Amino acid sequence: MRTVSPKALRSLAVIVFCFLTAFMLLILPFKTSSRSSVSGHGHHVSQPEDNIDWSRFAYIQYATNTAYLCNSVMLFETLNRLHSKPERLILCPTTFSVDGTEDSVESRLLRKARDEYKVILVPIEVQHRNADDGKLLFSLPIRIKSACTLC
Amino acid sequence: MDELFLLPQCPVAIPRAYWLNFDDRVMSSLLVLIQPSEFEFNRVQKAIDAAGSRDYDMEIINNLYKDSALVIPHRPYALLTGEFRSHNHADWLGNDIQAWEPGEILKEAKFLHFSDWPIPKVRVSH
Repeated sequence: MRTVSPKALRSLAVIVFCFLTAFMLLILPFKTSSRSSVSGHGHHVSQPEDNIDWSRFAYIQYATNTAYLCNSVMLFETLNRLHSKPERLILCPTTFSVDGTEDSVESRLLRKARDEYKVILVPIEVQHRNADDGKLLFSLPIRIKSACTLC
Repeated sequence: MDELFLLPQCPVAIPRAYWLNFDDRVMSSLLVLIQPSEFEFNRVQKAIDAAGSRDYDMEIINNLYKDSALVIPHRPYALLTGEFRSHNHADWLGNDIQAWEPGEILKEAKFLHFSDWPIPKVRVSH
């Protein structure tokens, strides 16, 4: 039985669902504001979004291979272009280097995500789980190596 | 899609797999809104460990959350690319009255997921 430290467990609580989607994860707020509307006098009443601390929430992409990473970067480009407010994270294998001297596709994509689209990069170790016939069922992170701002 | 963060609190919010039979109440894992929780993490980890040879992410998500998840409306948050080759769009539209206008539907959609069986997923060749 694999053991995971309590700190890693809290971190993994954030990312455990990542393997369940190849695409987008959103983090729920811990509070919600009541809805408001424009008053009869035409004055704009404060909308819930004006008082939200968006840094408490994040879009997360789980990119365990190059194709997924490419897709993830495309998604973050869109979010960046649309001025999306929550944080942005990419969970990627520790084997993907972001070293500035590295010229691999993965490295260039990760640096692009980080430098142009304000994405936080979170290296993870990936566990693969195969079906009985050897086909890959899914891959999932079992540990993160660097701090996750949401944990 | 930032507005999704303002939904009521719930461990998991997911859309319906609208392309499947609604009577089977299958939920999709293409978009998952989660509230981080050690309790839920442990449940999911247990489900992974017990997963059978044909249990993918959708099976696990459905087994755990089909009856308790908040439902994100599939229209406009979970459009499949395969919808554009479909002949009957009532399941996406939510009614069988509205005309199918692909340009308008694409503009309306907030999230597009590539799934167009039998066309395989995109792969990068090295």
